[in-house]
Amino acid sequence: MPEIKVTPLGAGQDVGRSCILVSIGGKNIMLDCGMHMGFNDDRRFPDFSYITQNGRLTEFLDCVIISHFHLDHCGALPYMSEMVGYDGPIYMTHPTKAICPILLEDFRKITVDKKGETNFFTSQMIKDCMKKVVPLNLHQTVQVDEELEIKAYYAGHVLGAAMVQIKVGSESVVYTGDYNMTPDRHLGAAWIDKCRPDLLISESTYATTIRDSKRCRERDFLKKVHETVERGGKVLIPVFALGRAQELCILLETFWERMNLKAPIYFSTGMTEKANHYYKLFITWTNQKIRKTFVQRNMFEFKHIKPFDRSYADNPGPMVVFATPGMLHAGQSLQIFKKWAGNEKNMVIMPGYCVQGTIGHKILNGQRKLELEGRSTLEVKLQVEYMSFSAHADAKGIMQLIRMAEPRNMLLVHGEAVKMEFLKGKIEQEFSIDCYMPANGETTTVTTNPNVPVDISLNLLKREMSLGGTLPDPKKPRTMHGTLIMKENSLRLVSPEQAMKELGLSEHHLRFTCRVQLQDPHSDADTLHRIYMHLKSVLKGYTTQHLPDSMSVMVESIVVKVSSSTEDPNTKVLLLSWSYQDEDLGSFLSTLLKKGLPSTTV
Amino acid sequence: MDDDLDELLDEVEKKFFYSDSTRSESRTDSTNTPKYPREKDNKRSDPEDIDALLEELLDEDYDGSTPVETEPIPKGSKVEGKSLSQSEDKKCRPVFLGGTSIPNGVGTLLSQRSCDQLRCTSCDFRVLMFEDQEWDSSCDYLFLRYKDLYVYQLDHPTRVLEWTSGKTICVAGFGPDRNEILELHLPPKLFADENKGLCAERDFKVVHGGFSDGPVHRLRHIQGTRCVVTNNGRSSSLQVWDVGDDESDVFRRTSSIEGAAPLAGQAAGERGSQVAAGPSPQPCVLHGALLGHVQLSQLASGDTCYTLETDSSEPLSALQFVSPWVFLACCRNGNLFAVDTRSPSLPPPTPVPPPPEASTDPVHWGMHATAGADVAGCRVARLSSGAEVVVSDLRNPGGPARRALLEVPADGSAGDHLRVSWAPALEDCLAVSGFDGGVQVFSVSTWGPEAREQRALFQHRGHSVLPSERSAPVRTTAHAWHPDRPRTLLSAATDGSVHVWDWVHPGAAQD
Repeated sequence: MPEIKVTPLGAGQDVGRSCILVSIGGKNIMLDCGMHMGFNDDRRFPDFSYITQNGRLTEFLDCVIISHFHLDHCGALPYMSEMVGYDGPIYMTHPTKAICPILLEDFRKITVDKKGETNFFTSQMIKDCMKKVVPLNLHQTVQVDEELEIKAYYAGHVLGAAMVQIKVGSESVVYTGDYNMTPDRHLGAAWIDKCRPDLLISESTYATTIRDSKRCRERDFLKKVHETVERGGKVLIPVFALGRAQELCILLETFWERMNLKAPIYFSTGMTEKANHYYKLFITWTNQKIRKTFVQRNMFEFKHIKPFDRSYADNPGPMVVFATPGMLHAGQSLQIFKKWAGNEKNMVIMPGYCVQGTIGHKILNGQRKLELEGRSTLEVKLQVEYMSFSAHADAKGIMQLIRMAEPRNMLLVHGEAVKMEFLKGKIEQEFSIDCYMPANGETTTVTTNPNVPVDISLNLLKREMSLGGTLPDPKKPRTMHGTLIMKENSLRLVSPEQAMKELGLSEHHLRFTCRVQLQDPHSDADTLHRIYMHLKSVLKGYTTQHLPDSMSVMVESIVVKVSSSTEDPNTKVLLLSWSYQDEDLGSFLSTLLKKGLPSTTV
Repeated sequence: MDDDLDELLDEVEKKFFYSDSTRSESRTDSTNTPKYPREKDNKRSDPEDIDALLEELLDEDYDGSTPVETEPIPKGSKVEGKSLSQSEDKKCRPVFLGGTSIPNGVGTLLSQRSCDQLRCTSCDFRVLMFEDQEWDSSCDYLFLRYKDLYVYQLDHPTRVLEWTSGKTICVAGFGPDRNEILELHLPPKLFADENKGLCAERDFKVVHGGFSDGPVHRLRHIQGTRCVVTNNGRSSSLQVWDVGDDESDVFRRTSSIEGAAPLAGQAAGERGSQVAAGPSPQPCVLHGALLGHVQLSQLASGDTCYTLETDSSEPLSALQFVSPWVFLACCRNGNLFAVDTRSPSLPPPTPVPPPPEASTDPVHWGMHATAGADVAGCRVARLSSGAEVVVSDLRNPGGPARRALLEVPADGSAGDHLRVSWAPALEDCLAVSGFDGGVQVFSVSTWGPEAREQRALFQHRGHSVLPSERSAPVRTTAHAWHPDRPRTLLSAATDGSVHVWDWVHPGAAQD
């Protein structure tokens, strides 16, 4: 049976360093190539040795697909392509292609220049890696090679995030990446057509969560910011690359506008600014409302939000600053944090998930004294707030997507909870499909049942029609005989005569013969008659013929010939002969006759 | 995008103190004059602009940067004619809201006084007035009502909200066929008293889940175990479930307990059995559909260890243990029995005192008793579908009871969603739900022996003003007090919404 094999190298029962290998129809595809933000050692990148122990990546992989620009989905890309070595195509959407190198470069700077790590990819490697990227458009079918095709669907989540359908022949897999089933302020909701894939690989970050209403969360956020600004404090919002930053910018911008607030709002570094530029560029990837109002007013051209300069951090008075990176592990957000941490009037709002080991994670765990590099300690007096704004599908969203795509099998990745038996049961019961949750390095095999299209010759169909009588019912399977010719990737069913003609073969007949000895003290003719009577009584409903001229009996096409043994006239030798088609009847007859004839005759 | 934010603010506000008509007006208003501050002078006396004034006031909750003008808030509230007419003999006509210089009192055409009996049309709270006071700019009106509010949407509505621990609850669907039973972990943010901001999660987590073949109308957690017992509201048998431990997240059905078979001519299965968790240490469960069917069954073996000896076929509406041996059984007709399991005979009932005026509507009663250390100090509240409450003392069950007619829209259609419960950590407070889309909290301390109309101390209306796709009005299906947080409640409604809220006593100082 044909199979689809899925092996997560990362994100199997885990969040971070998403990397999933899929083997379908003889093609090997890598879905995402992310890094784990919480580790500095080997665990940071997916374990590519799983593939490389059997040769180079390029030989094994037909293509690599990146779902979106978050580093836990694309962070290991230069490492894989330039350091491990991969020269094949890498597919990603246009916005991802534009933003991804900025984030990689930013992360590289922090890791190499600030932390002084060696054995990390260089700027040149990022550039070389991006040269291998082939951009994707939404709903455009891209032919990777003759058999493998991929197609991107809108996933929400962040700008340019896509779900991909991978198709080989009639087998297909859909990988969701990270997605969001409810539209937000700047992005739409994920959508896919009823493509009925053999396997749907879905993220499950919030699979066991029932979320508090978004409006309650937003209101809380605005209130917190406003309160702090009101009492003259400074608000630091470390943002993860971009993505959620834009959502919060729009929210704050509108709030400032409406409330006529004067406190300044800043973006840190050129990076977020640049990213905003990309949002303007890729306005078609945003939600409907922003696209509609775009002509009158570009939602990403903020009136109240201005670029940040390092010196502003020491300015007196209230301000709000969006700074990267989002987990306070390095860079500008950490610098500002160090400056502001001592004042209890200030506030830091962590809008996203923080990986273990980062300062963000530490302060969220209530740590009030931080050990910094160089043995200095930092006392955290400012108010720490955590607001989760990340846009992932919850259990309801996952169910919604299953209903949309109608897959035949389901596989969950990118979830922290190992215990998701209930969700698994829920999916299996509601949709009667199998649901898998492999761990990293564990291979899940899904058996597929693809349709194989075959052309049937008209003559054969006509013959079948004349034999069958009734018109074929499309809902009922029907057996028909013919010769299957597999030639040049096409399958044809033709009549045997035509097949022989086409292939230049001469017809051969296969006949079975068998000799049965009987003790029957009668003349040959009598014995023949006795055999005839016997067979006629046993095989009712078959045409049995008595041919005394040739000393034989015919049952259908089986010939039974009688002759006497040369040594003993009472020993009769029966010669049976039948064609391959009558194998069943022939072997039955031979068995029957071997038992001898009944002693009494009528 | 302005619209979006307006929508957000309006929705939150609307949710808690606007009626629908007010909303539509305020919407147009805010789009026409998007910016604050707006002109304030021309609308002081114009009753048409009350809504705008209110809106403006609410805007100020947010906008602290502009100092609020010296104006007492009550002038901005609206007049509620109906509730006034019900309880007060004198009415203002016409109604004046007045300015700061006009004295308060009953206004007539001749003596223009600003009304001093203003009530909110949405929450029905009395409007308080404070002379020469103004709102502090940091004051957020919402925080006068809720310390916490979390809004969730379940896939299917639940009519059970049962605590399985201090931080987890069980909910279950009551659809006709397949239903989910879920154990949910409440948002950790709710419990983070020390530093709420640090606490990340404001979401429910599904800790355990399972599937039930039938509806779940009643669900009880058996104290000291990881077991819950459910009833489908149709038969007398109970299903026993193992909630599951840390190993697995699956709810498993372990066994079932058969209830008493209905006698000939009795429709016992109509409403299903009432269920009460038996007292520790032996895990057992008290159940029965009719008074004559009440029995105590061992959880482990399913054996019956006690049966109430009576052949009464009065349908039950509630069962509750008040001590290790004594339980209360309340019938739908309001009769209450305090039964000692050590003696099999049925004690005389405590009937409901006759209603003040003969009602033609058939009423039924529900019951909840305070959990006390001893039986004698236990107080029982009985609630009728006609919105009457009778509070009686078990020490003197026949003695004078406190009574009240609740000011809730009791249209007799409350049905089986009616709930009454005592606050476990708040003196003299009880909550009722099921009359409409709200949950009302009452204080019984002021109630007397005569059934007077009583107003709610607090009303949670979040469910009924939520935008719902269904046309049918939303009705609350259940509510539950947190076992030890005094003012934290959970409530669920027919649209599948579940709210967790920590309300603030309007009169009491914030703690």
